[in-house]
Amino acid sequence: MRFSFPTLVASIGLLFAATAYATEEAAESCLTDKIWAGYSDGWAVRTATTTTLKQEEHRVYLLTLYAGNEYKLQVCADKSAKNIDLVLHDLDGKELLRDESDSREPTMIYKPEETQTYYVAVQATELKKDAAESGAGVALAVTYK
Amino acid sequence: MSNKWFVCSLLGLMVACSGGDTPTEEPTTEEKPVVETPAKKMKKLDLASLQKAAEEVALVPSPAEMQKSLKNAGLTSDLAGLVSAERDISMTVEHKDNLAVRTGVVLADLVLTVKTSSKESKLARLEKLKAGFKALGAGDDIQATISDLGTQITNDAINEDDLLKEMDELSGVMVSELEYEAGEWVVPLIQAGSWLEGANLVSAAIIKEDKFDVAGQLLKQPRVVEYFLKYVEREGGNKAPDQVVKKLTEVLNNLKTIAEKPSMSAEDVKAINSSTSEVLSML
Repeated sequence: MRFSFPTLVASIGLLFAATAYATEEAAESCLTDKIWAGYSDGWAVRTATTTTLKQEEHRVYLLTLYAGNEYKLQVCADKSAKNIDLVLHDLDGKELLRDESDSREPTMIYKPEETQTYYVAVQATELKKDAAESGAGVALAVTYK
Repeated sequence: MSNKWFVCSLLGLMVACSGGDTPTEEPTTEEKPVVETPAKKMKKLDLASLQKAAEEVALVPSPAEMQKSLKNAGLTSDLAGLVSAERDISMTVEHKDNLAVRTGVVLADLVLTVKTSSKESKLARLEKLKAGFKALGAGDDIQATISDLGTQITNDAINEDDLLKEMDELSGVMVSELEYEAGEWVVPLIQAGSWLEGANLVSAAIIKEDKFDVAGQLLKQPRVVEYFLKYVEREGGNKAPDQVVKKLTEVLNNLKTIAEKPSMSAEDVKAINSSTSEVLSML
């Protein structure tokens, strides 16, 4: 079987289109499934947000967490990500909790002792080589019970 | 390398290549030792980096979360029971800041009473919500979602648990992710309306149950109030004089002063309740 040049160009185009499509939408879909599944265990969603992160790029979100509530921070990244890290800091910047897994779907549970504003940092620590520049779709949800 | 395998490699085997042998791995003469590469970890971020990068999309607690916090703090009041049944908020105001706040209050009432209110009441609040979002230029998606919810409620085609999930998604996810024609300030002001209603109801519950010792745990959120003030007091934009917005600005500044105190007294809680009531009564 031989490939003509136009076929090759079209196929590469398809490859890139497929990669782009599989980013934020895939991450969001994965996270939505997790959020809905959590309701059966008493978790309700406060907020969810989606972004695209390149290799070693991060986002930081401010969170108000109530003492007495239990919080679950969940991340889903699309398949172009290998390891997404999640770190929770207090308002002074002190690290409180760090995800130690090498997963693209890290989860952390935290029960604050005081009602306060916190920072949660999400980083694309390792992406697959072909996604380092285009980035991976990454979705974060804050759920509570 | 043949053209065929060059093409297959280039496409990452996405396109099936037929009519040839499958590639074989190069034979190895000896086992190579497995060296585990330590997994990369996120570098530590200092406070300045955190502050610089911080986004506020997840800052504001939802009304339903306020209800849960109330319960976890040992109060027995149900916020739904404290929502005013008589209040009929008009959504025909022209001032967009004012309208965004109203939309937020209606959203909070809808979320909090989803399990207790009548079908008619839910449908009426959904209609108000739809009108608010439409006037704020929220796009067709949310209108369609609200219409769909209305149809399901009308036809008894959705149970309370699923409706609660839908409401959580609407208030916590859709509202904050939408782009509004009116501007980026719309989301914070909708959230301000919802939070104001929540703070009013929580303070009422604390007063009712005489549980002032948990007031700080439930109401002390200076960063949230600062966030609202940043948008209410913004330069330019829709700054035509409006009594509700003027009052809201005054109340938020008072709340900021209270929230920054080391602890909250009974008088502080009563001040929160009366000042938030003043704004809500103007809607």
